[in-house]
Amino acid sequence: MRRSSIYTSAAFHALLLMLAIMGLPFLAHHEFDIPQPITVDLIEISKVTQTNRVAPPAPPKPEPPKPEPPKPQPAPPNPVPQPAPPVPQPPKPEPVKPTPPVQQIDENAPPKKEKPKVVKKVEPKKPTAPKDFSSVLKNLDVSKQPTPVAQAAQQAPIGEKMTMSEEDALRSQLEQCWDVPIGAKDVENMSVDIFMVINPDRTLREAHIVDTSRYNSDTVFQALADSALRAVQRCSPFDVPPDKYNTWNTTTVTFNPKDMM
Amino acid sequence: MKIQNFLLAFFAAVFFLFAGSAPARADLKINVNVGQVNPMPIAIPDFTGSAGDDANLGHDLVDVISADLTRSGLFRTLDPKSFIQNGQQAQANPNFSEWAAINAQALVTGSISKTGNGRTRVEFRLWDVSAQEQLTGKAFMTTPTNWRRIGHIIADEIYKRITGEQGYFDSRIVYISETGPYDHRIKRLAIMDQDGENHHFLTDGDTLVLTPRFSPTSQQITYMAYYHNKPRVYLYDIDSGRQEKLGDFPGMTFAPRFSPDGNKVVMSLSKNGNSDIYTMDLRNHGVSQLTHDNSINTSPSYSPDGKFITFESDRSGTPEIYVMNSDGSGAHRITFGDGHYSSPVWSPRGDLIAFTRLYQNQFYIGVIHPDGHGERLITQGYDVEGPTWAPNGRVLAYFKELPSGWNKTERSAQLYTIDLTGFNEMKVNTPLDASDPAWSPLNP
Repeated sequence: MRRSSIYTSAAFHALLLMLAIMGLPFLAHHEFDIPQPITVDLIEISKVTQTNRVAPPAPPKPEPPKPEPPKPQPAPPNPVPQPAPPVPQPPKPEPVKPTPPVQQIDENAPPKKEKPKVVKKVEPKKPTAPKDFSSVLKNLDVSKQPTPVAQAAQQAPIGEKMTMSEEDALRSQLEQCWDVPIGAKDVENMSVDIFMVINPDRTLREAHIVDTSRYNSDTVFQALADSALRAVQRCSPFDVPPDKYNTWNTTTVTFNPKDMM
Repeated sequence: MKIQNFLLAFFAAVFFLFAGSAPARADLKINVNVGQVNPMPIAIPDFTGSAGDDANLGHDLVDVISADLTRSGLFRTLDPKSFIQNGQQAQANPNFSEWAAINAQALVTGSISKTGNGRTRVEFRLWDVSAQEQLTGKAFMTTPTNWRRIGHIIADEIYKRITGEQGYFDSRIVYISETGPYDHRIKRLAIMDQDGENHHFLTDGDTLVLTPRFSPTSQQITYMAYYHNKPRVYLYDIDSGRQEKLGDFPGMTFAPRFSPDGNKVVMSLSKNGNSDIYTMDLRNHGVSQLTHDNSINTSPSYSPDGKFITFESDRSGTPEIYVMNSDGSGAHRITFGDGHYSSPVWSPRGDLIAFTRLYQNQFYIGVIHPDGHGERLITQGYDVEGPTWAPNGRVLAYFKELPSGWNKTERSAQLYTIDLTGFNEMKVNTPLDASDPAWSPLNP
């Protein structure tokens, strides 16, 4: 009897020991790694960024001037202390020439009323850098007629998407066209949206500033918006895939110089 | 129950209505966060005039406008030889495709005419070449002798419309003109247009003058002059040539500067080897002390809204820049870099404070935001000091001093300007050596 109680005790001790080591199954708190739902946009992507443009040069960031090695200047032996005071009398004024007469400004040149601009781009950009002299003289613009390619593009499937490479190409082209009014107050914190309608031949049909109320009230925003408008005008025709007309015929470009600061 | 069903149906209808009207396909969205920094190509054909005099004036006026815009670094004036249309044609009817062909992005046309009473009327228009429309246009009347100012005012209008910020070309700079050997310098107060023209001296060389500062509201300058070997703060009225001493203090006063409303002068008063910041009301000469400690507090400068003052203090052991409320409360340090910081100047735009920094025997001029972030050093040299802001807060003027003479014991000082981006450093020509510039507000 005594022996069996020892066994029982030993058995219970062993059980307790096991419980201490392994724990009760129903007490264990299992953390499940539930994968967070991540929205994934499925896009076609080419293997490499096939932009035919050179990468834009890194924007010249305002940076402290490169410290040129200071020329070892022999310091002047001892700055001679200021000698006796000049003349102990209050400074005498020299006869002062009268300031230029204040002119009267008359504003009767009728400044045209500024209105939010809707730019109708009529002519596509002229071909640049004519290679031979004949091209300077006359050059009928064939790009005005929609190209057959573009017409084919009209039937492009609606689900078609621009690849990242193609978006990169357009972005890179716009970066090259955009002269930023850098240094203006708070311009790095501003962004301007330009809505564009693009013709099937990839030229700009129309571009306008989305936030017209700010355009009329904030001169720095106005300068930024104008620079953005000039950029899209200069960039036309755009570097977009001709066969995906439906993806780019209306495009909104957000210009914001934050990465230049 | 019925009402609930009705509401449910209603919301469902609204939902489907909106869902149905949503575009089937979103616009393409592109973010452009980097661009180019290029001066804008601008074409300015000669302004047209009727008589021969007017034609010459039209050419000279365009020279002033072009020089202003080019010096700003933000514009590139195109060579008139490349122009297809001349001024006359462009004024009558600008052919934008011809201007676009020479890569002009902006076009300025103008005309000059004489009015009956011997005055001259100048009219100009600024055109956007790619948008093919007028951006701004104005006319001015003046006496013919005042033509340079008209040029500066037109340049300011163009600058303002293209950059979105106030211009600064119609403004002046006072500075200390220096001549003679280093140990017997003759220093005179001088004034000129910001482009170095119309130069003249305001004081003779009898008295040593220092640190001129322009009033932001009137044609007055405050500066220091030595009287009985003691520096005193004076006020100088440019139009009348009158000057007066500001108060009689027991110690020495220096580093005076106007408040933004022009009614007060804030300065430093030194007693027993310790200096504190005081203001003096110019209307009643009432004085109040803003700092009260045993360190050196000097070089005060108001924020443009008048609510804060930045100043230099060595209360932490080394000279650093501080900002406090304009009543003297809440002083806190904003510079923490190595070396010594001095002469802070608050930008008229309000967003930056310019300063001088001395580090490892090199002087730098830098800018920092008033909350202490974003310090940038924009120029450096053997001795660069005395930053002063152009009235639009975009450009800084300062002076550079270099050893000169055969044994390098002399000094030569010259004025320079620089864009706050740190680019486009330009020398300002002065007849003699020049230091301590102070930029005026826009001319009234």
